[in-house]
Amino acid sequence: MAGNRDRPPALGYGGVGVPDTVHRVLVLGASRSGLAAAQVLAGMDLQVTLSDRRDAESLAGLEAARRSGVQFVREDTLAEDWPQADLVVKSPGVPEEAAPVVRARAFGVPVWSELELAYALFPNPFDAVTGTNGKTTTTALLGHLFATAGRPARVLGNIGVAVTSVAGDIRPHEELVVEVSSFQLEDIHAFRPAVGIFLNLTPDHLDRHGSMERYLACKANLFASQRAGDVAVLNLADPAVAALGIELSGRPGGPRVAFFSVDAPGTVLTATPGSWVDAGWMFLEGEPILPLSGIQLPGRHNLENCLAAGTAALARGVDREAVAEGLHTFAGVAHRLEKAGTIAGVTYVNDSKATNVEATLTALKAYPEGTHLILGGRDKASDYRPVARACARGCRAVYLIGEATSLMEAAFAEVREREGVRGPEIQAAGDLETAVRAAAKAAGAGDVVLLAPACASFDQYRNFEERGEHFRTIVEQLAREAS
Amino acid sequence: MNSSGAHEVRTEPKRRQVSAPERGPNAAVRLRDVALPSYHLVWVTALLLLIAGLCMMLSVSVATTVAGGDKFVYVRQQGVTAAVGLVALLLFTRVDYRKMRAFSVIFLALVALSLVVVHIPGASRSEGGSSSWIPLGPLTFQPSEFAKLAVILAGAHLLSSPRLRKGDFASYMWPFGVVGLGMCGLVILEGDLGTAVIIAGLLLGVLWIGGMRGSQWLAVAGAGVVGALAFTFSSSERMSRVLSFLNPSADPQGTSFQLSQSLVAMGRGGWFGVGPGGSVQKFQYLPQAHTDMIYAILGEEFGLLGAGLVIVLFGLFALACWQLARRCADPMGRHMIAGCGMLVTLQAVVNIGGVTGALPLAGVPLPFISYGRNSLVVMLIAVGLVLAIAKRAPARPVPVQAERYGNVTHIDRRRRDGRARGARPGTR
Repeated sequence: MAGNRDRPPALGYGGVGVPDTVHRVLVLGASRSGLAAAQVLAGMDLQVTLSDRRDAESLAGLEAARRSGVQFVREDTLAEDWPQADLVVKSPGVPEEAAPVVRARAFGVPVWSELELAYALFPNPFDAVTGTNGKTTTTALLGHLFATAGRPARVLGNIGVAVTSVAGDIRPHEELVVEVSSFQLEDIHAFRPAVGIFLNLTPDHLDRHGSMERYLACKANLFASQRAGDVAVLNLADPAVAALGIELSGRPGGPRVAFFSVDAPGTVLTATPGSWVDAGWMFLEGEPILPLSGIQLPGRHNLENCLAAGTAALARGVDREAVAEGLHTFAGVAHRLEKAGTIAGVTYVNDSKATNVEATLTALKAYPEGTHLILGGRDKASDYRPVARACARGCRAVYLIGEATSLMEAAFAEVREREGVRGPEIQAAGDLETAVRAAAKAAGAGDVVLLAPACASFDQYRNFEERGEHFRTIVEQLAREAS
Repeated sequence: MNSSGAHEVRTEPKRRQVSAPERGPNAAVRLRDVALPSYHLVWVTALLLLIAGLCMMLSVSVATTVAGGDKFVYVRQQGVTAAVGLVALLLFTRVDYRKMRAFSVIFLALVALSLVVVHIPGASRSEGGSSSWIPLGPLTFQPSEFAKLAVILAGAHLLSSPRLRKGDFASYMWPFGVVGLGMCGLVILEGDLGTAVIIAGLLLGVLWIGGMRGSQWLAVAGAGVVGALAFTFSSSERMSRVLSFLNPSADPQGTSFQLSQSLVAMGRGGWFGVGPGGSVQKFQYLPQAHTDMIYAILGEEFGLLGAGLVIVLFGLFALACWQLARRCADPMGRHMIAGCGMLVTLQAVVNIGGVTGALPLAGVPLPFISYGRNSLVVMLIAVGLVLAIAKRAPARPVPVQAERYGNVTHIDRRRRDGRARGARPGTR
């Protein structure tokens, strides 16, 4: 078992608090989760040093943290002036190779992710959702299922609210539904989710993780501390995830493995799924729950999300009627294939959450014809050739924005020359507004202007939400100009 | 006629539209929609068999007048039972079978308990060598009949539950296998070997459908067969009774009395029978003429034709159940349909096999036909269950071919509309 700290045996989950030996804490990264963690720790009468690569002036929300007693230093000054911390809390945005992280490890100082800190602080059951794509939808859906059943639950994590930020106003036994990225899984130790969901694994974040093996190991961390009575919800249709699940089910004292699959049982021979889709029905834990026509979310990938969230909700004791109703009433998440408006017959779709190639390909599957695609942002060392190939099938035009423009152009050119695929017209637009306006001019009735950038947003925006909001405001402006 | 296009004469493929349901791939199809003929076949065959049974009751009732009985004694009773059973059938078709999961376990426990109660002296009534009945006012309750239903219901629930996903032997055998075997043992202790055989057969069938691994299933089945043989050969009286079917004429006044009388009856029937009501064997020659041996009287009065028709009806019933089970996408529904189909078919095979001397005479009623209140009600409930599942269960649609060609042009089409295979304009 991974729990090497003393913990009261009666308490099944976390909430044991930060160890008494900890007096000084260094929080790396002053983003949303770093700020929240620093404020919580400062509220516990610990000496908290917060550091970030950026200047104090460019950081929003730092003032509030300073008022609660957090000391801010720039990351480069840490080399000379190490704060002698007993604990390092790392924001998800800080890479493993960052100098302070390496140094902390060299000194033998424990490095926690913000998730581990939250686990130490809250005794509540955690339901953690991870995977490459569909995390946000699944997390929001699971929260919605709990809400439908009238169970108190919070939706936290990557989805927008830092997990530690809810300290103080959280009730015991409230379910914490957490969207967890692989970065947050790098430094968890005792974190033991009551339900862990692993949706799929495709090459994403390879710039940070290096290899697929390490990426999978990160994700597998989620289940490392799970014990009998916990549930691991895993996708049997994804080979890497299925292999992990088969290994997990053989682990003595390990969690119950609940497989789900979009294919009917029998198509995969390695294991039997407990939840699946067959004959136009969704089956959860072996029983039909509702016909697929009752689900509003579009696309096959969303069926996986529904299966995962439904299985998890059942594992947490939500009754079947509530799950069926919740799956029926859930309409989707903002910035995820969200319709921003229709002007003169042209539909504007905001999929700002598509920050990787897989997600963009999924979006292109949802809108395969007459698409004006807006691509680009900060590159994540991805291979854009699949997008170029997919674009050749039904896109009218492609507009490139942000840092990745040249890389994208190269990928499109390579596909055009090497594979002889005549793709759509490609236009370097620079920023989002230029791109949307150019697309609006070119598009005819029935076309779709799709923002599915396949890249991170950090070159021009703070996060993908801001990018999505910007897209929405541009579309609103266009609507006003048109009328 | 069209002189300009003479060289363009080609056979247009005649497209026979195969009724493709105009639904998306996400459409939820109910079992009844994809297998409507099977759905109707289930209740039609059951009803025809029930009517045939009532006719036979009318015929054998007359035989009791010799002993000073009422000439409608069986048909009146059976008619009332049939009415009650049909009401139960209709009620069960209205029940959502998915809500039966909790009920099935309670039902199994109650039946197991009442099988124990049967063995308490004073609480039960014995008849024909076995004490299987519990008197309840004017009625009698036969737990072993309901045990069959309990095995099907509980098996369908337990073998489709999440705990079975690992598929290990222990989760199949506990609690389902062990409780089922226990019930089997209690029925054997009642002295009702036939019903015990049926329950054991259902148990094995449900385990098979539940996806038990072949080797494990063979081990259970083998243990069952060895146990049954050991039980049979442990007493010479049992052994001679069981084995008498091999040579019915060896002891026609003793162990094989029933069988030889039954064969006499069938022999009198010939091809077309002696006519309705014309049976002689029912007049005290053939014991149990109204219950277990009714098929012999049927053979006597309606001949090979009538007896064969009954077999055909049972065959159609089994076929319809099989079709429904095959198409059912819900594991619990599939197990229940298959179990109910097996119950009727297995009992028909054992009964008809026994009466005709093909199998040892086991003493089980012929479904829908034999006199027996508990048996008939249970059989009609089973039919009700099948219909209830077919109405609600999600179904695998029949794989639809987009179009079929009424002529052989599709062969030509592979060769580019009549030209030689692979013909294309020559290279320049």
